[in-house]
Amino acid sequence: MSTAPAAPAGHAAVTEHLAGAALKPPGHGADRAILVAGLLLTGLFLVAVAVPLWRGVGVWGLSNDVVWAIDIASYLWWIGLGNASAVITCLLLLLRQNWRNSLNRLAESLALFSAGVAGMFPILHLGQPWQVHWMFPVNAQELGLWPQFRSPLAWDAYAILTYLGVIFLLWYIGLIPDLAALRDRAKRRGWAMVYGVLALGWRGSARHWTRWHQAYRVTAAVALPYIVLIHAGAALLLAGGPVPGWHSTIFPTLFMLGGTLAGFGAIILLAVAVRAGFGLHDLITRDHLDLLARITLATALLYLYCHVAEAWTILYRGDPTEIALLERRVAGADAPLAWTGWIASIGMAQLFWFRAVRRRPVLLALIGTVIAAGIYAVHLMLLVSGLAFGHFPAMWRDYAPTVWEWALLAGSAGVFLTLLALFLRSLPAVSIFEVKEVLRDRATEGRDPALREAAQ
Amino acid sequence: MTARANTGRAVTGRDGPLPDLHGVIARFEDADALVRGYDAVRGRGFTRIDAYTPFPLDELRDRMPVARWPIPLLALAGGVGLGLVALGLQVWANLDYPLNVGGRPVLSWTAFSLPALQFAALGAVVAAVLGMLLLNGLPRLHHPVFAAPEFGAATGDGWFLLIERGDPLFTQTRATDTLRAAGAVWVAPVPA
Repeated sequence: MSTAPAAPAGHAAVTEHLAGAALKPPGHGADRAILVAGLLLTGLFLVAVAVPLWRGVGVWGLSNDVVWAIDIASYLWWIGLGNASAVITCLLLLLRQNWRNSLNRLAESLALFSAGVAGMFPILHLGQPWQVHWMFPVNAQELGLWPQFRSPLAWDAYAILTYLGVIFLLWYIGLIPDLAALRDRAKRRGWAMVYGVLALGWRGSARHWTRWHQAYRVTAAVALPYIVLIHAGAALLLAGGPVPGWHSTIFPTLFMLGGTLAGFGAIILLAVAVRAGFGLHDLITRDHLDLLARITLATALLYLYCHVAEAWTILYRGDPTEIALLERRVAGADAPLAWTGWIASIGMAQLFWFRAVRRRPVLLALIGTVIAAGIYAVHLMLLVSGLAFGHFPAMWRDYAPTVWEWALLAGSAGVFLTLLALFLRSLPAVSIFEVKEVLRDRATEGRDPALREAAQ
Repeated sequence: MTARANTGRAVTGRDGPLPDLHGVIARFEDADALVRGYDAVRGRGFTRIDAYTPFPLDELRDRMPVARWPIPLLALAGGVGLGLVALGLQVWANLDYPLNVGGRPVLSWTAFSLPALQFAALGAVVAAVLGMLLLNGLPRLHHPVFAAPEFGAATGDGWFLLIERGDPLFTQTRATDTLRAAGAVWVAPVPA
């Protein structure tokens, strides 16, 4: 924390540095690989969407019993990934932790893009996605019926819609001042106009800043509990049914914490990448990475508790089907997937007990990635094992994902990467004005006590 | 856009306000100079002052207060409003076409509360953001200050103070002299 760059010179340099990255045309730097990979996989995604549309969802490995697998596991995983990002950015904003400023834009973008990607899965898994409006109370249905508002399936549709709206506004309100900075620095008039319109005429007036800050904080305060509600709500629809292995009150919490754990893994990866890619070692210090690792560890322990509680509930209830299912998960057919997931997520997070691990950025990023992937395995295992092993032996079906399901999953990652790459080169990935704010905080720390006091 | 910096040349004021003047703007060296400058201008009795900064300054937040309640209140109203609309829609739809699912009540308040809460959150956030824009007079793509010299720096490292023409004490000379005495790097008139 000893580095306190001279404020004014630093501010201009920060603006040029961070705005410069956004004003270059796409695909002219280290992110070219991301864009190319993203576009290739997006092509795959289009094929993977077109085939089930043409031939029906029968091309997936689903059956009348295993009705949800990769499609819904992907939905839950992507939305959980975004949730943790949104939670952490809101939480740190409300707690006035200004070091978040270097991280929040990317975290909010991660939340927005992954929510967008997540939202496609429930629509695709309908089988007849062109009838998605049946989920909404438009009463334009051929049947003249309303949606079933008591059904968690309907809640889910509204959850995604409103979640996208909330996350988009959270992202956009933080972006307005930076759009103005890009407007003032764009080299071509056309781009200046685009950024100018998007900036809505922002001019940095002091009173505008105060109201902007109020609105930003209100948005974060609403979004924070709401995000938790959304993810728990999505898992509530699992707990609501009689499917063995789902029918447990801990399930919403379990899914929410799993998603959050995956999200923290992604945030660590993101923080390390931003730190190295944008040279922000002074802003995102090893202390902050250490902190992120501790939060991740705490989440992993909570998640472990949920799994133990779930197993205990099954044993206590004594339902033979559920006990048999638990055996399948721990030592039977589902065990390889289950243990892969548990070890990769909860197990890997235990490495964060060690200070030496918490302070090695590359190692942290690696572990973060493994944790995020591990959660996917757990989500898939939890979904499939319950469906493939029902109360009736006649309902027992094995499930194996087909190539089109893998293609859809890989393709969805492509859509995400494409959005990310385009974002990196068209908008400031690190909030320009908030980084300057931090620099000033640093510069004024310890001096000018009257000014500091006045600020309190 | 018009916000691009034109010239860095300081323009000194002539006597009396020009008929088409928005105000007089001054640039300051850094944030502390701006805050000191604000205090000095305020001390001379000017009231219609605006400051333009690259990021929010706590010092200015306290010196140029805005009402605290409108945005949270708007958010509350937007949240309750859209939540009630969502709730009302569900009630109406279920009365319009009562559906007996396992004998559950036609008006299942616990189930209906979830969509209502979801839309309440959306309503609150939309109201907060729109309210902020509305109170700030945005979107307004053109504004006279964008024509001020170097104003593009207001999103970089420029610290500006503007005395508006509407100020009771305003004359171009007096505003220019006051800003100059307050420690401005340069002072320039802003055409309306």
